[in-house]
Amino acid sequence: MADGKTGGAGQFAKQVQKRFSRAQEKVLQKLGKTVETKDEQFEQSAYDFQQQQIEGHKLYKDLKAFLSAVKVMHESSKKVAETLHEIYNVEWDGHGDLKAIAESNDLLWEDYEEKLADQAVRTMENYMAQFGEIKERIGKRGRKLVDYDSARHHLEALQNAKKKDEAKIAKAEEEFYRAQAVFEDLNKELREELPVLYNSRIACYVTIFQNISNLRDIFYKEMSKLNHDLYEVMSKLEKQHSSKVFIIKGVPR
Amino acid sequence: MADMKTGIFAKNVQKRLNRAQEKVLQKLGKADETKDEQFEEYVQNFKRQEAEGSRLQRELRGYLAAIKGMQEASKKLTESLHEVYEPEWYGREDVKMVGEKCDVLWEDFHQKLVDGSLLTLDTYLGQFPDIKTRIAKRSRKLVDYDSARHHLEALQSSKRRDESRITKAEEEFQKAQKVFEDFNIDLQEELPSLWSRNLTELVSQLPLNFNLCHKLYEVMTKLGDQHADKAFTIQGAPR
Repeated sequence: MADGKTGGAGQFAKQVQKRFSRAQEKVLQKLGKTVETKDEQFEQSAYDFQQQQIEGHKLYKDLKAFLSAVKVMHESSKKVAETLHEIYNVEWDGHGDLKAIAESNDLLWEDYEEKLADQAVRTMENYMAQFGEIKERIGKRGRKLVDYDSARHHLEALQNAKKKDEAKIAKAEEEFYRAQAVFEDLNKELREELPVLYNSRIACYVTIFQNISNLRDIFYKEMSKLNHDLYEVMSKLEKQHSSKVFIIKGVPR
Repeated sequence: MADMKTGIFAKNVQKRLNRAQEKVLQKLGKADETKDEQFEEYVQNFKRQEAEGSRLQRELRGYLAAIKGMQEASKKLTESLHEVYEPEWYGREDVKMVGEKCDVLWEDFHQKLVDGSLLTLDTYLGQFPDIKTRIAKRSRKLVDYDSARHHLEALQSSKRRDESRITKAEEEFQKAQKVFEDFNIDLQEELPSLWSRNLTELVSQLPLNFNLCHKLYEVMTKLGDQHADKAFTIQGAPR
């Protein structure tokens, strides 16, 4: 048996080597092809990812500026209303109404501001927060790809060497398969996630802009009512003082 | 010519000297001032009115600037949205159109406010410098009047009456009185009635027609429906 084994071992080892070589060849070919194919697709995904992040960042900036502008309008609207209330004499018709109007005005703006901050700006913030981590993983995948290629070339070099050192080859194989597994894991994950992330931008934009439109709708409906109230107060005031004319004396003295 | 000039110059100097003198006498309590409490009240009201009007003008200008800011921010936002909008997504052109219409609305609102309220307010406040000048002039004529009065009184109560001087002083007194009264009456009529109805006009500009917001909401909803399967989930779970 020992003889057979010895004899067989020689044959066996050769066949294993052959099979291994073929398999290896195939694997290498496959790898060559696979890596290429994956690379193209992946490059596209990585590019889309980058664009998506740039897009998102711009929208985020614009949303923040929009909220800022709303805050400024709130402030100045408040000042106008307060001034109006203060110059309004106590004995004039509608003095009490004016205070209520000024307060309602402030509340409406406050509400609008808060909801915008929450439903638009913060939503965008959360959406953008995903990108950092994924960017890191894309980077990591890149590094693992290098490791993988490096392990592959090392193995190839050993295998093509004139003097084959089986122990070293075996070790190199181990490292090669390990590097491959690590890379494949990361690669697979990202290949699945990136397209999903890319498509999710639509729903994000929809959500945010639906929210903005809805909030504006409500705000302006309520503001319209308030303006009407203010108009009523002013009309009453005018009636009360209809004799007091506003004349411009243009004649020089 | 030179004589006339010197004459008028000399007259003005004299006028100023008289007024200064009168004021000193009044301050020293040696001469009484003609006081018109009612008029003082009018002047106080006037000052307050000017201050209030100026303040309203300042706040209104601030509001108008804020509107411009809002218009800009709105425009940038819808432009950005239009940029990221893929051609095959529902409503690409609608989004652009809504953005443009929104901009027109803001522009229109701003313009109406400028034409309606700011302009009216500016015109209203434009009256004040002239009236201020006239109040000051009345004040000076009042001093002249008091001065002439005291001069006349002094001559009349002096031991040795000089009739020709008294007559002259009477003439000057009556002239000063007339001048003062003219200013006084005009202002007394005007000041109380200095009230504008422009507050009503100001307010009528404030309502803003924003039916367009509803349109954007519709577009976004349809787009959402078009891509309902593309979930928007926040990948919050750490890996």
